[in-house]
Amino acid sequence: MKNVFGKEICFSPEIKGIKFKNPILTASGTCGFGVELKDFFELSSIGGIVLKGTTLLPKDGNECPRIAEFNGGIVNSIGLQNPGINGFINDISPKLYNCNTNIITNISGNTIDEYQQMCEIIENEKVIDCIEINISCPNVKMGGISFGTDSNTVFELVSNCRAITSKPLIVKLTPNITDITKIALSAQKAGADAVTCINTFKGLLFDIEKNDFSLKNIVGGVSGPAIKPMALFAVYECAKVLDIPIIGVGGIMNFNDALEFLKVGASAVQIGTATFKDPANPAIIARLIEREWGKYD
Amino acid sequence: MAERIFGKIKENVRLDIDHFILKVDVFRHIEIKPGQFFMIRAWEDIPVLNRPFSVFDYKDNIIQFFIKIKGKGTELLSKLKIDEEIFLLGPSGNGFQNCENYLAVGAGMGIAPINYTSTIFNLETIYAVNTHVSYMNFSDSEFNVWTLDGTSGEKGNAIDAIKKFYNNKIHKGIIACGPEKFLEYLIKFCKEKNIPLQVSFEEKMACGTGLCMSCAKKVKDDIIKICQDGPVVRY
Repeated sequence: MKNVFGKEICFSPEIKGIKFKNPILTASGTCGFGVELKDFFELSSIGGIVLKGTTLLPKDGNECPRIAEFNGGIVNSIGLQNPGINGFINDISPKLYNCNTNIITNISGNTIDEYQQMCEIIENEKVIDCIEINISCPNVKMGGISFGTDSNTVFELVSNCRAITSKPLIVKLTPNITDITKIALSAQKAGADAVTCINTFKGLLFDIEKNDFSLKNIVGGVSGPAIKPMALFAVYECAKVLDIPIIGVGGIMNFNDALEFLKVGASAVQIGTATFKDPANPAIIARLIEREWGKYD
Repeated sequence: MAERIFGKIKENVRLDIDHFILKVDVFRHIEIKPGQFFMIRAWEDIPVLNRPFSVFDYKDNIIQFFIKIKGKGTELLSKLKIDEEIFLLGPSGNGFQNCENYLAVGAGMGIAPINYTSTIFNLETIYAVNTHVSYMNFSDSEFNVWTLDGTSGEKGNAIDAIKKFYNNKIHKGIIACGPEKFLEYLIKFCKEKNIPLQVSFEEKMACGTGLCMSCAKKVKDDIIKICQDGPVVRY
């Protein structure tokens, strides 16, 4: 099966020598630490699990309500609640041994140094196959502006992580920017092995009945079917300029949506909000895509 | 453990303009603890999220949900007809435990998990609402009805009812579900009186299975996932 650029789409894509048995992954923040999904399907049936965003130190997250819904999607502001990288390694990662799929840790930091420290800790952790860098976090040293909106900062962040880890580095791009390709090219130049297109859009909802913002944090990340066209556009634009693989994510609810992403330039996709609809959806989509592969040449 | 269950509507009983009881046939026996809930869905992609509902009653493979129409999801559920398909994810949460001889209190829609629990443990039950509702006989259980305006049963709020009914010679504690302000008051009240309390909390949630952390909040100095570590908290 070929994409719109005439390039063959590989059913089992590779990122820096790490092979994915199929192009279906979960999206960070929608599948816990993977362990929770074991009740619903064999983790080995999909290409990889991208774990809940993890920080250097444990984080309590934001106050509730953390989630609100609108016609077409959801807005969330969880606030990166997680047990910290060491908490994950000590308490959770042993449960992921022998799960027979790729485990991708999603990392977030307030400073470049924090990202580097996490890369260093992860380097010796056998369970983790790849690192996905979340660059949508506020950069404390830059006055809280997101790392991902400045191409020089992205270059500095990614090259500093690259210097420390030999594991595949995937940079998760934010769509909250004028030209996503500039950031994508910076990441590639700094040594990223792939990019994920895209993180959530910034948004908010107001609850008329409560006469208050729907989220306690006011602002959150928008995901779900409503963002699919913008996510496809981001993948398509990045595919025009990048040499490294693109992982598409944003509003994939079924295998047809997943195919759309592959057709416009993604090498793999992540299933996010659809996992809330049915936690077996990543496996269902993987099975359907395997069955239908080649029908859309 | 939560499972994916494909059920069919056995009956959809409209109680009044915005309340109904959905009876779902799941065609097999499922272990459901009183106070547990299901995420349910009977539509395609929109609304995006499943809707959480406590089990109102359960016997002979039929799960009942007591639902108030609030938005699009509940409206779609209210229109389901006999034999239509419905997806359930659950049962989830910890549920009420070891509450023999407790006084059961359901305020407003909070009666949903209380009804099933009081049936299982055969508990004396208070049903407190703002005003008379036309469907007072919607459960097999008998309730002591209290209304704020006195239009049905006794006049007063849920706390008034507890003050009148709770008898430490008979009752070993209280189980309750209802509006947040009532529960906050009840927690203080029971602490002062040294009454064991189990409360079922409600929180906005996306997955209902511990994947998303949307419902995690601070309860008794710990951050708990309401969908998994709750919804019932013991005081």
